[in-house]
Amino acid sequence: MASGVAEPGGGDREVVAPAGGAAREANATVWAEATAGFRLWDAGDEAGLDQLVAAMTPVLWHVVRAFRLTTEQSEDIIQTTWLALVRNRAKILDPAAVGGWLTTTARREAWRVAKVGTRSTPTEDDELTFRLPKQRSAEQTVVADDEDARLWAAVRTLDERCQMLLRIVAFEHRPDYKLIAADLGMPVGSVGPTRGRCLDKLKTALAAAAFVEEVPHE
Amino acid sequence: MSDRTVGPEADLERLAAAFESADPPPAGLVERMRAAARSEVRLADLDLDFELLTLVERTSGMAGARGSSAYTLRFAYDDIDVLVRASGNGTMRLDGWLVPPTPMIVRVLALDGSPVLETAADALGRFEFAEVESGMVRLLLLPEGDGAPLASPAFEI
Repeated sequence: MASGVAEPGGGDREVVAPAGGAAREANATVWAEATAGFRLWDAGDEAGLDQLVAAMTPVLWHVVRAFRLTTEQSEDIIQTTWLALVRNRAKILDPAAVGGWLTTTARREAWRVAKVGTRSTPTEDDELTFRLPKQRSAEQTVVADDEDARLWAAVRTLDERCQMLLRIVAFEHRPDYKLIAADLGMPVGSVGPTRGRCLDKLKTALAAAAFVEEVPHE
Repeated sequence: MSDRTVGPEADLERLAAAFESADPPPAGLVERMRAAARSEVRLADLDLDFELLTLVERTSGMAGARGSSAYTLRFAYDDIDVLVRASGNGTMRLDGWLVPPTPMIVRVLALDGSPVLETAADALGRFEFAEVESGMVRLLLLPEGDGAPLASPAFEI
């Protein structure tokens, strides 16, 4: 799918840093860890279950948070997902499918909760959990921090649907667009193009922010 | 530089990194989920074929560390509601109500493996545990008559 967006006038900077290779490996690695854990658990070693939970819980966090639920709601949904896995493990015939089974289950439960709403009051703390750049660990390079912060700020300017879709797709390994469309109530076949439009909007937002930052002082 | 450093896939990977940086999972989440998953395995081993209660409502106490104020949780399955009020500081007190009142044995299963506490709901559906150590627990409800055994999800007191 072509991402042919013209670079903003006067800008020769890469608006989305090309760090794709390593991170893509990380995503595949997480899924592979999950599959290996499931296999181990299936073979009778509960350490495999621990491994599976450790590998996939962060992924489920992001999938569920895409629905803008509170930290408490999100944790409840993630737990529901894990309990469902233990109860339904016999239904997962292919260990390689466990990652997708988990993200799908979490997505559907998050959707249900987002629509119905549990009666818990979000607190200010939920907003404060979005870390500010200054509070990040010293080990991270300044460049990476700035890029993360810029990307995050740009994502937040997008409409809610784009934010949700991008976050869900970003953490899915080999996303099944048909399934995602059905789960999010989107027209069949629309997820791919919508993803593309959202990424374009993101690049525009990044370019606009960069332009503002680069106002020369004379 | 390979083609995989640009394009939508690369964009999404950078985005994932930004999300991870800006909104990471809360501290201890993985540990709590590990404990919850293992508790489900333990319950499955009991061979009781219980139904899972859903957390319907949670009213938080005022600001402050958990355990220093009272809060209420409401679970439900089918037409049974289970209300639990946790209060105390360190060692907690649990007060519960079954609505409608149903004759049931109620157990507190501590996820850290501490001994199971047990009591019975009275004719009004009330039950209480005077001293429960802070930590993650699950409630198990066993009907004295007909009906499915019920288990709550894990929650922290």
